[in-house]
Amino acid sequence: MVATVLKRVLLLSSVLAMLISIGCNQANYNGSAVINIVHPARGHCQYTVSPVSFQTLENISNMTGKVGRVLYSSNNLDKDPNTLVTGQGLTPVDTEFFRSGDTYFPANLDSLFAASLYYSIENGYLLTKTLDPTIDLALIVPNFRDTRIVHRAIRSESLANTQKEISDNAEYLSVRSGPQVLNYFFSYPTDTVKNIPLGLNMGIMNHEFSHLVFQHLFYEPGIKRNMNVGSTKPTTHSLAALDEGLADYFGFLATQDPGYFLCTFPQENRDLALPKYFTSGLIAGIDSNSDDYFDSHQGGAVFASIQYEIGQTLGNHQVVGKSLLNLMSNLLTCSSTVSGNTLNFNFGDIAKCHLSLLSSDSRAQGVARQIYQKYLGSYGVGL
Amino acid sequence: MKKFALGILLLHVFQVAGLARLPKTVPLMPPRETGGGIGALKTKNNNFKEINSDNLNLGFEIGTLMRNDSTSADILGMQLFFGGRASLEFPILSTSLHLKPSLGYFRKQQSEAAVSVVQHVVEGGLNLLYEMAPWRNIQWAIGAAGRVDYLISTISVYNQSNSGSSFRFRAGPSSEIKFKLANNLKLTTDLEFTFSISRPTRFFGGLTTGLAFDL
Repeated sequence: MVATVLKRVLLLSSVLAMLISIGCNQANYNGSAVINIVHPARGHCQYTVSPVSFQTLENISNMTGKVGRVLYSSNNLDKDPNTLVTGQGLTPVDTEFFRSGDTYFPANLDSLFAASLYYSIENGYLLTKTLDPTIDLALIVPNFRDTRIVHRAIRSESLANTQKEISDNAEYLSVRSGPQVLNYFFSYPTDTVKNIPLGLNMGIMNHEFSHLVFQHLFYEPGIKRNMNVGSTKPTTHSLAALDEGLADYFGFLATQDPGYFLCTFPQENRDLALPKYFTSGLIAGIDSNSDDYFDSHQGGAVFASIQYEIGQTLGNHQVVGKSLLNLMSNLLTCSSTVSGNTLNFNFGDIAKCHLSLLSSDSRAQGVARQIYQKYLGSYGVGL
Repeated sequence: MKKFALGILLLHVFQVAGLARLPKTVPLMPPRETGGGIGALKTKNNNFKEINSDNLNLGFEIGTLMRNDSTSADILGMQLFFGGRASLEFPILSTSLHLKPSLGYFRKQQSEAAVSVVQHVVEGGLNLLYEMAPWRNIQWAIGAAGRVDYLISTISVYNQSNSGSSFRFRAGPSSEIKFKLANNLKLTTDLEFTFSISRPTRFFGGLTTGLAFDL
């Protein structure tokens, strides 16, 4: 008797459960969305898990939208030189999201990474547009929505004559394919990092996004104009360091944490809040013709700290951010950085160009001049 | 853990393969004496029925739930969740047709530096099994399984965490094989291949093994 009742109860409850589950479909959504992701909260390296609004996402399953698409490949992307041109083997990340009301929840680690990576790139796009509404990268960058954001990218680097797979890093890469430039963001696998993985560090991914901005506001227009790079000043090294410095600062703007880099690499000297100087040793490295004594990140870190102090002193980082976007495009026209069709400058000339762009705001210009003079070392003479 | 899943799979395969090699026909002894008459045959059949668990069976199995994933697979394109099921099994309509409702729990944890995602699957299931020709101490049944999963994912970073949940229904073919270990005790292994009904369609595998008790 008990067994019969038990059997009937089990049968009925099973049928009921099936009906409930069919009613509760999983996420299959097209349009902007609110998704739970790991993102920075207020304070140094304070990360939290909570819903954020995605504004440009068009397909949550494939994680594609206005700013690009998140992809994955199990192959080494350097194995075939054409892979990055054709995109062959790159497929959407296999994502799964739960829907609860209007909010989506990543079901697994890959889905979390895919959503967080897209959000970081979207954040960079929207930040640029907010700082300067005239700069809409969706209009400036050809095939912007084809930007490829590669999750757990497998690529190789040469170390001591051996090939090693890259890990604990992130990268922006522009790949030229005929007249087109394909934009790639790589989030490499985590190996030794113990804190926030690079792909989930919004500051670091926005640092990489800033390289895309510089590519399309400076390098691409310069290439179109057939600009030359002069040799009487350390233009190439200065450009590389400037690119890194701008990226460091835009990473801060995205997170409002000057020490965002330390959330992943606690030992690195990349805290923007710590004043840094163009020392004679650093200047010698930038001025040298050799790459042996030059690290673009060191000069970049000094430039970023200078911008941070300008913003702090002004109490307004938006002004600094906007002026740096203008600097990117005006390096090609500033009298201090270009002569005829030739780019020829050092960090002193970059500072002069920046100060000229701040001429409409005398307070900002005055503060910036003082701070440049304080930290530029011999580059600051004549400012 | 991958070896564990592979071990259960091989166990199931060997069990089925072993069954296939057994003689197909069971020689019936003709009734020659009083003791070997109809009445005695019935008694033997009744004993046989007891071995083949016409009664209510209570089972406890551990194993893996596999979910196909093209980005992060543990083995053969599948992610492995580990856990177990408790089940009841009883005949319906005929002695060959069995219903096996179950309740299970499977879990998978993925971590990368300070970030982790733990997926919990609380599974309610119903397995309809048709018993193929039983042989001695072995039973093999095939059928169809329907599973309702309550899914919970918890994302954690440092001391912060947040959870989301959902339901999923999946169904597909299943197979069960049992070895008699003692009068009321069997070693049981279940294998199933299911598909989620909701979109996008996803493929699942289930492989569990454990003990079943006659109640």
